[in-house]
Amino acid sequence: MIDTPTTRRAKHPETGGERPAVLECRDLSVHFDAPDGRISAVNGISFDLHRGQCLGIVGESGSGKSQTFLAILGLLASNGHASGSVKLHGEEILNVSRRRLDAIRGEKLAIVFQDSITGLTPHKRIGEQLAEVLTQHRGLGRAAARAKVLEMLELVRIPEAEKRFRMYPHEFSGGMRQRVMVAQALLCQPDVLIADEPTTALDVTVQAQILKLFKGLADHTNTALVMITHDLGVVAGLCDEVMVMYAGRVVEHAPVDELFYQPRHPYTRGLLACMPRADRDSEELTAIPGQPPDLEALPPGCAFAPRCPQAFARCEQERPSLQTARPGHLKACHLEELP
Amino acid sequence: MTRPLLQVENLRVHFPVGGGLFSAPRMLKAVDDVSFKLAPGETLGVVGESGCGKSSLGRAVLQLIPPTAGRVLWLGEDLCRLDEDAMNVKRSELQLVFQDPLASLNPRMSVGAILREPLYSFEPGIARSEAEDRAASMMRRVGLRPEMMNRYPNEFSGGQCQRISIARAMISRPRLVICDEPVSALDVSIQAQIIALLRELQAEYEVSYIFISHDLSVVRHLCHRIMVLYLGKLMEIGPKRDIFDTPRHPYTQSLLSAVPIPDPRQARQREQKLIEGDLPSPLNPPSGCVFRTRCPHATPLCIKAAPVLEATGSEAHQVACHYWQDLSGDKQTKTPTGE
Repeated sequence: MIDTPTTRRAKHPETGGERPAVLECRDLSVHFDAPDGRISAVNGISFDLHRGQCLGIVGESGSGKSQTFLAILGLLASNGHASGSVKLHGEEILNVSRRRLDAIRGEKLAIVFQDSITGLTPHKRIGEQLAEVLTQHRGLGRAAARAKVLEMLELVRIPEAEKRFRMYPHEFSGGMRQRVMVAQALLCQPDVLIADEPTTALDVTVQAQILKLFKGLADHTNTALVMITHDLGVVAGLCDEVMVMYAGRVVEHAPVDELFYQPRHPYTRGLLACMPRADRDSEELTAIPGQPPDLEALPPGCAFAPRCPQAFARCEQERPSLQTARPGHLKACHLEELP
Repeated sequence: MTRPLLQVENLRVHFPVGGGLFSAPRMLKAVDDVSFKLAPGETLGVVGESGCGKSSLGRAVLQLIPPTAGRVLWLGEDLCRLDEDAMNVKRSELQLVFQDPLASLNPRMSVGAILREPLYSFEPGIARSEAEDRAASMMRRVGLRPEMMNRYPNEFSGGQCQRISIARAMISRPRLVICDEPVSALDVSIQAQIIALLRELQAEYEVSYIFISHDLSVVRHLCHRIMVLYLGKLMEIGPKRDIFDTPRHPYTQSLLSAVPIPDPRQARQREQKLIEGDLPSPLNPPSGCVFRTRCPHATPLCIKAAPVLEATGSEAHQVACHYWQDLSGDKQTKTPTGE
């Protein structure tokens, strides 16, 4: 086992033995074949995910945060290739057959996307679409499936579930569709729920409702949650642990409080310093200069070096590896490194 | 308040929706009886959920959509009464920056041509060399190298395109720029750069902004006064400090409560006053107070009568709620008054 914050946290309180992770990801890399060569989108990602845990994945566009999990789900675009190892309950699921993936997806691994209108079939009634998940994956009869779907719609607080059952996706508001997507993802009680920017397109009031729903899930079920987002505010209220990604690599991985109160990577510090806050007057915001890197032209050293206020000569030549900054807290940065 | 730059009185923007041979169209009241003033050099934030009419309000002020009723007084002159030619002359003083930076720039024009175009239309007879000089200095002012003027918008990143949009809006030296979600489509680290740029330009040119946004954190950071809209109606307006520290309208209170805070300890401690449900259809708004269907404090009075905007402690801070006095402070009673 590698030394990730998760493995440390996962020690059984009594026996001291390690609880097995639901999802173990080791050295996952993703590249895409492009007309002018190969683009590395994700490089060497490793983490463990345990039951009832919520892991936040934070990054800007191009950080590889979504591609990492699309690869895990076997949903990469046709020119994308994944390598490394991803184990679900000990079973390798990376690059396995379509048939095996179909069995796993929906039942053990589920995803909620940002865009709820494309996630639902437009010409099928909501109830039918949802019940189908159960009749196909669980072999339930129609009546049993219907009852379960209604129960789930009520769980995600869809008002008048009976009536809504017979409606089409376009008759729902954005927030309600997103809740239907969450209900759909939860129908088979997956072990891992991956939420990719599930609230980005929603209004704050609806976002707060959906986040509350996710929080309830983590508390009441054993489902492990992965929250992919660009919004540190979402992470702060929901996650136990956070992985910050930049240019396809993890730059920092820590328990949520440590990440916010003792960030070790200049990029994390930069993100925290450039966010305005609604709950207090913020001092001048310190913007991170420059722009997110072009994956086709990454510098040889640290990808963040061109924007880093503390970069020194070594940063431009040598890429820092992810190392333990303190127990349970990883960072990839040459600063404060022990000689 | 010094003499207002802009004074909007009882503005209404109604759109006819549907209707056919045998049925009359229904009226969508995008903006319904909204009044406010704007001082020179001031930033007014307009917040609310999607469909609250904030974008329609901005466009109606600029006469890009014709107001149904009301007056838009620009330095005392009613813009609604100007003919198209006269309004076009005024446009040098009133500019607009859109959300999607790439879509709002003509892909077939070089950036230099995009920046020179407003000069040619507002200052006919301007020499080409002068236009070029001013475009170059504006490029520099927004943080772009003038050498890049020959390039086309698709060669720039999202943040750079937004800088170009801002340069295009600023080049005619406007006195008012309406910014419609100008940072919403940008990465977090880029948002702070654009916010800083808008503040610098305001200090330098004494331009006023109407800053339309759903992001209350950004609004708090950038605006002097804030206006809260719900289903086309003005719910609350006041100085930033009053709105954030002592929000009087239950809708404002729940909006603020829903904003995620990037601080795990505070996020855990805070008690959120979330509103349930979704926005009602704007085609069929609730009677009386439009917010009553989602308001935890609604009473029969709220169904019968629409509250009028009234001043709270200070004249500048106004709220449209029957019960704002009962809801102020810690007591959350809902004793009906009057009737």
